[in-house]
Amino acid sequence: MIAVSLIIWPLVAALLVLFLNATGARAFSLFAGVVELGLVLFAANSLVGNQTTLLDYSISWISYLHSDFHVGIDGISMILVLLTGLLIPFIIWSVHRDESNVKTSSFYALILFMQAALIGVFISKDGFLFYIFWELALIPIYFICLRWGGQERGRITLKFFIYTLTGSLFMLMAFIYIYQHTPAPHSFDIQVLYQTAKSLNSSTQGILFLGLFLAFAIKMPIFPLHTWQPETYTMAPAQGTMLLSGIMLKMGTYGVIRWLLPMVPLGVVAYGKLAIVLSIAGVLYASCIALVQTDLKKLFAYSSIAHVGLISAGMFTNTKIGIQGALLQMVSHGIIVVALFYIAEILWRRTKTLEIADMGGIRLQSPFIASAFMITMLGSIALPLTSGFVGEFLLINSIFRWNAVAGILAGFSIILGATYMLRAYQKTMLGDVNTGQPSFEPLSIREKVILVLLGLLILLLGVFPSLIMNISEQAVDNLLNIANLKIN
Amino acid sequence: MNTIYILSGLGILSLVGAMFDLKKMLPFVLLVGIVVAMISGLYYWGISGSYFNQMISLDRFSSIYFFVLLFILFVWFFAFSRDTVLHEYGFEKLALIFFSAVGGLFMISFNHLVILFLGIEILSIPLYVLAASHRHEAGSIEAGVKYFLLSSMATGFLLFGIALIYGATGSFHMNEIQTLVTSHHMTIPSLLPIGIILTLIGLCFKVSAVPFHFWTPDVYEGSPTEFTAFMSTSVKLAAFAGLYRFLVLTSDPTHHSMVTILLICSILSIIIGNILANYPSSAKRLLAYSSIAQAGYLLIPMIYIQSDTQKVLVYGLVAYLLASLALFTVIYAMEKTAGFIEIKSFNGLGKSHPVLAFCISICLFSLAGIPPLAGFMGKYMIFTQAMSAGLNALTVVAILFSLVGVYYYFKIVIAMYLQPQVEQTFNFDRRILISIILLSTLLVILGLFPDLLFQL
Repeated sequence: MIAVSLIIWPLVAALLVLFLNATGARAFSLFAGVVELGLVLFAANSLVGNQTTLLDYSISWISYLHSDFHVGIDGISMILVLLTGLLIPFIIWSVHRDESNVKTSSFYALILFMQAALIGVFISKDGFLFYIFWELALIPIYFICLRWGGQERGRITLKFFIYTLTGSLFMLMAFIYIYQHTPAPHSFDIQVLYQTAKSLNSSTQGILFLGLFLAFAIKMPIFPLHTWQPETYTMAPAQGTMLLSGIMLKMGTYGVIRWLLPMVPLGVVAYGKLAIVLSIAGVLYASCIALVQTDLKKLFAYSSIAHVGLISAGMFTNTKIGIQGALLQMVSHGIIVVALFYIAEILWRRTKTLEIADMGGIRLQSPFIASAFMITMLGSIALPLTSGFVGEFLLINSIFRWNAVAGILAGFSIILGATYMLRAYQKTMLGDVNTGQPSFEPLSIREKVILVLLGLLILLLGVFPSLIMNISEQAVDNLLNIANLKIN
Repeated sequence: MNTIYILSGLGILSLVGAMFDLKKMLPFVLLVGIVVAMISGLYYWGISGSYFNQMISLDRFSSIYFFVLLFILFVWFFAFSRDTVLHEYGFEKLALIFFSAVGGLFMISFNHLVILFLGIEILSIPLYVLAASHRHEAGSIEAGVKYFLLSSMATGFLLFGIALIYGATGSFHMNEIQTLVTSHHMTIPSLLPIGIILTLIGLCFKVSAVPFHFWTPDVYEGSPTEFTAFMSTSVKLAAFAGLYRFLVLTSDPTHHSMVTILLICSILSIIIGNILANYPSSAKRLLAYSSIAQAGYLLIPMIYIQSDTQKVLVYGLVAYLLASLALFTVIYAMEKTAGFIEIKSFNGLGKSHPVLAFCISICLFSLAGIPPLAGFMGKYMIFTQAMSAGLNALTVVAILFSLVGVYYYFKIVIAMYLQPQVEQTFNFDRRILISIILLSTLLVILGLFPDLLFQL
């Protein structure tokens, strides 16, 4: 039951929020987000306590399609649900009070709606339900970007929408194909789909792999399907970018772990190499482009592509280290990227620019934000004792075991990452104060608290990565069992 | 059967109302009449039987189609009848709508080719008049004449086809034709397939499938919008129901020609409808092309009829009808203020009328096939049908072109939420708002719980 309430509560809250004015909506949605976090923690507690009956719920939904409303939380889902529950309150809280005339109650309703859809994606145990939630998550973010985005938002949001929709339609076709091969009466249940796809021959599995991969690769995004991403991140309002980069791209990585690797193991054998090569190419490509970015948000966007490429490469090695590293890195990346985009937002509010060249010497004006940026940045470049380190270490380790050259190339990403992040840090925070800039208004308590909490999370996961890895270990083992049994 | 009687009676009642000039009362009375017809339909739900020497036969599905048609009529009268009755010849127009609907009922339940022909004519002739009913506007007259001339040609094909079928089988009765086709399909004269194909062409004209679609954009655009709303919904419903019945009753596995024709029509409708819908700046014209494309999707399950095709067809049709009716209703309401409605007339609606804009977005999203709305479920079921019939290539084309659909439907969404507001402010009266909210809510509910319609 608790699994269903995780979806229903944000939906109910989203409806209620619509009846409030902007200030009330902000407060209430923040409250709703915190309540949801409480529910998530309760769910996590029952998972750890092995009370798994609470976490599984199934009811017949569309009898014609033999699709059930089946949701369930295992370790892997739990991590993503935790991430969603954790980040949404921050994202809501990050809206500045004086934006209340622009960001009306529907803005918060959309965020909560988005949360429901995202959690739905992460806990669906039915192929059709998964697809519905997958698309449902697109609608609120589309409107968030369309109504509150920056320049050229009409064109960019449409491109983003059609891009992701195209990918997911191929995923849908792959699902339908497997569904039609399930024993009559057909079923969309994930276990049945696993078993059915197993019996297909290698070339069919290869095609199914490509269909599914396309959808997930666009969402993550993986080179060369990333072209929607930098524009969209730059144009979206700060909260939209946080949602997109912090949580939504994890839909793609989660999809790979849950719906791709165990589904078509022979396809992974055939095309996994291609996926890894593309991912690593994307890592290097995006890092190089990030080196020459002059816009802070664009730089973070490209760095996000690089990090996700590494996650993806690690997953496709189809090993326990790779997947565990990917899960850890998803959480870490989610927290770090939200912090980074929040810092960009704070800077933008004060300096009215995101051009790196127009900033400088902010450390002298506000040491606090300089420190916060420092911690986040160190997490992003995977310094030991930050959350980024353990994840990247595991990922690169798994890639290295798969192929030494690929591992070395992937390792370059850390060096390149350090280069562009430090460069950005240096140009914005250090040096002399840029004379053209207005005086830097000190951070409010709210901003400080958000940054401190995010910074603490980064450090906490860096010191105790086992918090995350213990939750998922069992589930990852199960998943790999399913995948490997099929190969042998 | 009661439905047919009641609707005919209501049509006559509107004419009687004209004699006593009951402008205030009549719309309400008619609405009550429709509700009565709906209730009687529910009371006799699913009862099958034959009437008029077995020329009309009713079954479970005809109850569903009847109910949907009545629902469309209900919403139509709720939204438009108050205004329409005040027009010149307002009573007569309402009566014509009822007569046209009766024709639709005949097409849905025909069991005899003459009834099919009569149904089509009873459905169409009032529509020619209604299309031309703004008789001071050139566009309206053009629409009426064009519709009349092209329809007459299609009717000619249909009659010719019926005559040939009669020549080959010696009967107008669908049951007899069916027995003949299934029992002696080796010895049937080649007249029969030709007849079937010609009849099919006549019906394809009514559902506005490419290449018989040329009338659609001009007629939809030129006709007064309230009648376009009726035309684009009830005609489609009746024509698809009739087409399905005709195909089931004459289907014969040896006649591949029919399959080829349907395949070509559906694929061309999808491609051409979706491509041409990108160009017009007029909102009505855009919807006209979109209706051509939607007809293409709805033809897909007809190509190879399977045991559950009927359900899929009903669902797909309902999803299309609800959205289309809602959008034409919006355009009607906007035309009162702005005259001619272009896509840019929607500018800024998201700010000035947030609830309405939200409902319009739902309808457009549903037409574009975005989950979890009814339009998506409809398309999804159609595509699964196609794939289980082995039409994989067709499915891929249909899916790719439904992405093109996203582009033009979203033009309106983007206009509503992105562009600055236009000068004139629109007034939407309560009836229009209520009907649109009702229709879009239904789209959401049917999308989330398709079983509601499937278990009827």
